[in-house]
Amino acid sequence: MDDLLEIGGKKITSRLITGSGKYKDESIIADVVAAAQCDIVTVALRRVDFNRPDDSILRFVPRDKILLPNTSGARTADEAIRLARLSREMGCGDWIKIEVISDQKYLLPDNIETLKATDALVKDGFTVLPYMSPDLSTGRRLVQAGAAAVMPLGAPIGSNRGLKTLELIEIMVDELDIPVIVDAGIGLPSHAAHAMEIGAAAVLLNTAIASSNDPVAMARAFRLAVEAGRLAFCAGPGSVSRTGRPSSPLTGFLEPQ
Amino acid sequence: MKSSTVVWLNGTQVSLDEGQTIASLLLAKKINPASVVVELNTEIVQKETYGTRVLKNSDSVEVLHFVGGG
Repeated sequence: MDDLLEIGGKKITSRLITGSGKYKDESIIADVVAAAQCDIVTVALRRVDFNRPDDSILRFVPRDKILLPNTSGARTADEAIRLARLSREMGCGDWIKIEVISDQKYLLPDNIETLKATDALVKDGFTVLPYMSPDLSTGRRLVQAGAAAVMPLGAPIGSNRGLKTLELIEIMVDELDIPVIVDAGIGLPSHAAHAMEIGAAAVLLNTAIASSNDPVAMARAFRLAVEAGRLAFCAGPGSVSRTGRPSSPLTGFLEPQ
Repeated sequence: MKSSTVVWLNGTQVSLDEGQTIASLLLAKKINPASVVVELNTEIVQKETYGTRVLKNSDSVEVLHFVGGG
């Protein structure tokens, strides 16, 4: 049976979502996306540089991918709403990753403004995926507001530090009835596998691949890790014990002591 | 002598020939209208009106597109 992820009425095959930022050479993004076998790619909206009028990232993102524009740069709900509406006008769908950040040291999201933006944009017909600090109460309010998924951070954006917020994410996975996607902080395939093993619906990452020495190989490594972690979650882990339990029969040849 | 219109374009003050529309501005800047979104005085401009929206003094024009992001 296909293990599909459903977001905003769309059935998603891959549980690895990749970002398109920070590439020294953006022309490798198509190869990265192919190696990741992802269905969803994030982008950002910025001013055109009139000295390089043709440098849209869309040149490198395969057309069959779902574009997930973010509202990066927004410091308030109103700025996020403005960016979301402009992004939708690009004609690439109505998905939006809400990202509202006023803290420039740790780049931690502002959950209150994020909730306000989510509420307004769901009412405006968007498929809203809010990036958030992991918190069950805010998660519940985002569900009530109509978020298509919630995206708690594992560690600060771009830090590659892994699942520092693991237990809070586990609580959200256990208690919320919409997909919980771990976004930000994942630096290694083992982090991604761990997130999937605890029941995250998907992971979103950018820096870990883009800053690797070999982004295409790293994209493949993440694809395999996400798939492995998901399989393990679906299979259900064995029980954990403090003491040893033999894997081979203790009877049948040598007499017990 | 042609008179000019001074507008804010992506945060920079620029002088344009009077009567320029958003469409003619994009053409002059070698921008494909399909690959951008344009905001005029914080309002989104519908693409089908680019040819009729004449820029006036002190207008603020933002021309945006998708770049890499996470």
